[in-house]
Amino acid sequence: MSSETGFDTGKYDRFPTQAPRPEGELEQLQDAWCGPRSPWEWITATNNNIIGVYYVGAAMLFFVLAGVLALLMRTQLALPMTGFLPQETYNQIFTMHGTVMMFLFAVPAVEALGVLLLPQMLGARDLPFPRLGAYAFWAYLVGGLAFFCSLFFGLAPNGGWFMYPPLTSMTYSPGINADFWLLGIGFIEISAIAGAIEIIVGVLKTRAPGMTLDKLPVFAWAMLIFACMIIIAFPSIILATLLLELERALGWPFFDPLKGGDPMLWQHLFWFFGHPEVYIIFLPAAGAMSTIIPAMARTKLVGHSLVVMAMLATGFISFGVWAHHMFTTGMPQISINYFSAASMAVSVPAGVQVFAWIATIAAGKMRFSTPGLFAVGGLIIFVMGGLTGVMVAMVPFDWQAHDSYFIVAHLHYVLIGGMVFPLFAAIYYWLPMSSARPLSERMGKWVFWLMFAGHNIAFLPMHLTGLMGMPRRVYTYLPGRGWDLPNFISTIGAFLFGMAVLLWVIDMIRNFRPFGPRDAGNIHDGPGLEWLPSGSYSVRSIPVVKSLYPLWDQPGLARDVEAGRYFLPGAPTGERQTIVTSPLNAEPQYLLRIPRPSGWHVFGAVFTAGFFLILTIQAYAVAVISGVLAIYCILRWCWFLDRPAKRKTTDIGGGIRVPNSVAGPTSHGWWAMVIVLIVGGMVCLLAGFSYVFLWSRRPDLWQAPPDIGSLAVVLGMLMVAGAGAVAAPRILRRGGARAATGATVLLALAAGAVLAATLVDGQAWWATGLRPDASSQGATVYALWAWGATFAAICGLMGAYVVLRRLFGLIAPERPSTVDLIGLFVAFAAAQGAGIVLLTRLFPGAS
Amino acid sequence: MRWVTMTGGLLIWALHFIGLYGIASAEDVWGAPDAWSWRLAGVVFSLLCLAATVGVGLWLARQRPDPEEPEAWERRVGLTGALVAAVSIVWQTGPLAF
Repeated sequence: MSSETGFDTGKYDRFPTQAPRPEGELEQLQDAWCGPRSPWEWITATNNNIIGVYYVGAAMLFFVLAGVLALLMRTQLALPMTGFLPQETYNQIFTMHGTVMMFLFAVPAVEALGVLLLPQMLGARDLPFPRLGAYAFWAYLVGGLAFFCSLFFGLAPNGGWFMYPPLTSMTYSPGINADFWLLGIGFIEISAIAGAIEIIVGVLKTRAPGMTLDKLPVFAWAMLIFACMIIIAFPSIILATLLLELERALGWPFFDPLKGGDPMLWQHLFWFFGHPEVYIIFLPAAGAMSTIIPAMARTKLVGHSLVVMAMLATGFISFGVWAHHMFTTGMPQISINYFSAASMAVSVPAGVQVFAWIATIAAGKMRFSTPGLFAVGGLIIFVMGGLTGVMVAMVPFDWQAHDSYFIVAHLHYVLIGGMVFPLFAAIYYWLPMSSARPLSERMGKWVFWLMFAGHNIAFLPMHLTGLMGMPRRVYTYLPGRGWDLPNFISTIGAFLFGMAVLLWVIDMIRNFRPFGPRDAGNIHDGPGLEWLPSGSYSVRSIPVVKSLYPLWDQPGLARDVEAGRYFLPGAPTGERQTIVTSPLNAEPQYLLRIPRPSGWHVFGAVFTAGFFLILTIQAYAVAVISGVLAIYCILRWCWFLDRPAKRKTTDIGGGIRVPNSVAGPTSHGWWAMVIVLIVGGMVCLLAGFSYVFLWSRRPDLWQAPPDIGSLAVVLGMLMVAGAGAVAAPRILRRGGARAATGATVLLALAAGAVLAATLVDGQAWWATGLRPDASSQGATVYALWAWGATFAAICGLMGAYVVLRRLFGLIAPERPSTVDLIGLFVAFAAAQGAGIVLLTRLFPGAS
Repeated sequence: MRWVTMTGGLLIWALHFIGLYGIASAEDVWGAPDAWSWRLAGVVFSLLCLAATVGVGLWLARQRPDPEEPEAWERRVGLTGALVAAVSIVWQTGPLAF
């Protein structure tokens, strides 16, 4: 095999090693990875085995809570003119049901599944940023619970899960209900992005040696594409929530047509996130299906390369169908036609996967135990939802069915068939691996059949109620329209579904009891690395992977891994470590030191959540204090990174030595920073789109930009800043007595130059008399400026941080990661600032 | 480069879609409704994208990696992706005919 990094892959033949393992090696590994021993350590834990279980548990808690809200709604709608729920309460409940299901259950649940499964599946000891993963979890849990509790105070949002303005503008939603949604969801999406960063770097950089892309498990492929989609799509909702909150709090008219705004901008931004969101939810579930079906059918996945291509294709085209939610908004006809064609085309990659699953079932001997039942049940329901999806992709049909119960039926068939059933299949399939106990087969079959019947009884009649004209989101209806019976049947189905979930909860409680045997093992004869014997350290030794189905095709693998005959069989430095490998061929590159638990990420998450949630009640001083505390906690957490290693290289087995740390583009930190910058760049790009879009609505309201002289000054300062940021790491690497000081000063000056340029630009706009609350131009110009200013402020903070580290002697040529990453950030901030200045000054130009 | 091998066709497909949307939006702002010149621009852009996708497909078809190497699998993914992209580009250009 040709090498990607210069590593001699012939060295893989040294494994499994034959020499006896040294005394005490396993004990040292267990010591390094010992689990929590006190309640506080359970809270500060970072290991994916613990955080993954917490994460899945929290997501399922929100699933149950949102399900209870669904039952309340179905009770209200069971009969016409029922007074079970007041209208306002109903509005809050249906808004919270959709919001919680989409934002607090669906995305976190699949992300949680990734956090729980990926390290074992990839043969890693943990994901590369366990504290970031734990921070994301705690932020999500605290923020999510606080958000949900708004319901008990009558403060829950009530504008639907998509929060369309003008309904959600101050005029029509004057309370703080909408603010809870805007700040809460914006914050929770940041947590999702943190998880996505960890998943991308984890899948690309911490695979077992030899796990080339063709041997990468399909679930890991799905998680990789899922996480990349989050990085591209979620900035859109972050921007949208920021803009609407700015309009509500400060009167910046992004969506107010009287001042040049346009509510359509919200719809574009929301659905640019919202439609990919459906595939973001579906893809990991599809990856789980492509893993579970072959295992349950005891045969390899038919069309493996086609399935991966189909998932990639889904990832790309999902960004080209957002406006099919907007067919009735009066968009140009030709645009509608394009989106209609794309919406039909997206069924092709979904169809490829469905046919691959059917062919795999046909080629093997399917076992219809509970995971198999859920997989096949999900397949049936998803195909039904997909077919109605093709129907609503046709514009004339959509005009008839839009905003009717037909759409409610369609989306529930797609989401429940495409995500909920596969998730239950995954829980039943992988729980023996995670809790070392299987769930009850007998109860599982009851759960499946009640859920399958309940789903179809609840949602099949909704197609008819919709075609008979019943609109969505109504809290009651008049008798005699033919809607009574189908609504009543739907309610019966919903309660059957609820019974299934209740049975499952009982079984889960039984499963996690703290007594009884825990020795399930590989009960499904699964072929993936996750079924290797494992402890809190994941696998005893990290194997060389030679097949897509290693446990089927590499005889004796489990025995040799458990005997420590592969890579990193102990903890040679006494620290938590895993191997970082190259992104394509998974060749060993260096050892990653994994931090031990501490409380800083938990405090950071709580204060971050506090900052956003306290903002909603407009206690600004308290919110700022919480924000400052969050920044302090995060800086403390970062302070202990980029420390010198005790020795330069380590033998990871078979006489192969790798460095204990690296910097630059090979390092996992560099990859994470690049992904963060892509997120920031996407927000900026979409803000630029908003700027051009609003100009195209009312160009007559736009005034001339500041003079060209200030443009030249700002650009000059940004160029200097960028050059300084690029030069600083090079100066540090050159070494010598003054390298550290020189690089630090240069970086601090570069950060200062970005800040100064931003201030000059803001002052120039202010001097023209343009105000942010005056027109759409003012709103978008100052929004773009504020985005750049946020980056400039972070640059300032980073500049101070690097100076502080220099004063403590923590900047040195042999550990340049801090300077590398801050240099990268400052250079990006300068480039982004230049882009913003050029757009706002030169487009549309003087008028 | 190997990522481009796998995703080249699909990238062009995405670019094609964004381009068509951009042309349609530009027509909405600057052009007269149903002006033939905007439609021609859409057709020309689509033909360019189609040619690029076919080019990616042909380039991949000429590669001959060892069947045991991961590059062979990546080529297969790239080739099928280019095929799907080519069909989709033709399909999504269809609305310009109406």
